Amino acid sequence: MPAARVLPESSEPKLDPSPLEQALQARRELESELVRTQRNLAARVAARTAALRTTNEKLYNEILERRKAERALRAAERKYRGFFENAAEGAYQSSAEGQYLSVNPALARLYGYATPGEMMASVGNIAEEIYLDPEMRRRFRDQIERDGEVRDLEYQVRQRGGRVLWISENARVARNRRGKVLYYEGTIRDITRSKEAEAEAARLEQQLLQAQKMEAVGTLASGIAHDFNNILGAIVGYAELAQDDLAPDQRGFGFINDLLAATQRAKQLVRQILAFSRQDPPAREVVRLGTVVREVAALLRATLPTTIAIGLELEEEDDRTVADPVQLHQVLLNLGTNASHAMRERGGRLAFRLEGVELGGGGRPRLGALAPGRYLRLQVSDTGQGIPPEIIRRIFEPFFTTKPVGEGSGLGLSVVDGIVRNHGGEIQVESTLGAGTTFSIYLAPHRPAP
Amino acid sequence: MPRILVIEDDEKMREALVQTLLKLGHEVAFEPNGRAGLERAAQWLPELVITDLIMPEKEGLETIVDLRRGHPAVRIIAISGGGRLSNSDFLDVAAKLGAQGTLAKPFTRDELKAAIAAVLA
Repeated sequence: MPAARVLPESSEPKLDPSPLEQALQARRELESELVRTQRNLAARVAARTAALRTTNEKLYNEILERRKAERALRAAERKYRGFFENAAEGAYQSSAEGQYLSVNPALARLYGYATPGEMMASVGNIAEEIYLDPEMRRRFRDQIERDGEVRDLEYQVRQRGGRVLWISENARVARNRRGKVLYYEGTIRDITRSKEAEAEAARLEQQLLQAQKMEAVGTLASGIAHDFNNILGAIVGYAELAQDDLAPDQRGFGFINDLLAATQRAKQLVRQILAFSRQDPPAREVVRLGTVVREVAALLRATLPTTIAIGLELEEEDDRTVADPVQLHQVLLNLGTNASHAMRERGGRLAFRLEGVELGGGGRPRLGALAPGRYLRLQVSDTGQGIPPEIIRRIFEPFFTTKPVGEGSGLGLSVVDGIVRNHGGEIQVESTLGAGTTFSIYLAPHRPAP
Repeated sequence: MPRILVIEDDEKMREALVQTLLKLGHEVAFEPNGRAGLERAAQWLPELVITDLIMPEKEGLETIVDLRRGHPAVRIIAISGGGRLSNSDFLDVAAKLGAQGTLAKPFTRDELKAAIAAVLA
């Protein structure tokens, strides 16, 4: 409110107003002005008060809302924490570079640590210390940064202590508004068992397939063997009769000798085919593997060219196993002959090596269907041309051969494989092109009754 | 020289075997199956019967059993090219049923001579 007021001058001149009247008039006007102003003020105060009240209410409501939101947030976080801490699945957050930012107890347990804290302190680099194949981590990062997430990604990880697990991972990438990667977060499930079951199923299927093939071969073999041997019998008989009419120095006599030699090969082939159809188990006796190896080596020495050296490394002293010695001969003779074929161009070294090995258990690798334990390993190695990688998986299949027509039936290695499996053993092959091939046969050692 | 009866259903195998035995100086008769073979054995009385095992009409194992029953003195060599079981299985059974000798087909003349000599010794 102004302290003084200048009054408007009257537009009509008045004659002789007394100074008192003038003062009274001014006062009246001032008073009415004051009343107006007071009314005005009261109205404004009332209005302002109402506005303040509204604002206050709004503020109060806002505070209530915020408290509610905070409570909800705390509850959600508690819920999330509980979920994270108690989940059966492993969960984590990590930097893109591969350091854990947080892990839950389930993940720590899965990876072989007592607590999340212990795991976080131990693992410095996920790619190198968790992933079995660090290359897989690169693929994981490529995918998650490209798609924003990975779904059901399956790969192998190494537990503390070295055990290998199969895991399935779902993960997403968290970014800030500018798109910069803040962290990855994901859940991890142990699928080792189902992976092992899958592998076992595949192995059994493969075995079944092989068994079916063998059975088909056996049926075919026994069907034709009888007729075939009769034909061979007639050929041998007539050939010898024809020889009766010839003098040993005549050319025909020599031809018939070649013919008879060929029938011997045919006879061997039928025997080999028949080996498939043999239903009863082979003979079983305690055999010294070293003795069999020496016998076979002597036989090969007599027949192989001198460009092929034969070496024996028989380290295992207790070389007894339970087997059919005739079949073991067949196995070693077959592998030795194959090896010599691989070296016939340039010569080389054929080596037989016998040693005791431990398989499975204590983190050692298992082999095929063999139970963990001690085995005799008999290796037949050559320094020949090697087996091309694209066919190495097929070499044990019946009728699979790389030899020219007439030189190999394709039965040799499938018979070898069949014999070794019939003995409860395993056979494996490793080959390097141009450097040579090694067949490793694993047989259980003989354990005499105490 | 002993009289030998050959019982064999495969014609070519039979001919070769008969010719070989004749060459070796034996007196030889032959039949294509077990039933005919048994009839011939009853009339001709061979010292040795060489019989196949898998044959039509009457197969070899049964023939061996009947021969052993009807002609206990006759010597028997079983020959076989194998079949549903492996070669040696059939021949093993033949040996158990009384065949003194067995030969897996195909066999050479020397193997045949050795087998004959062994069962007639």
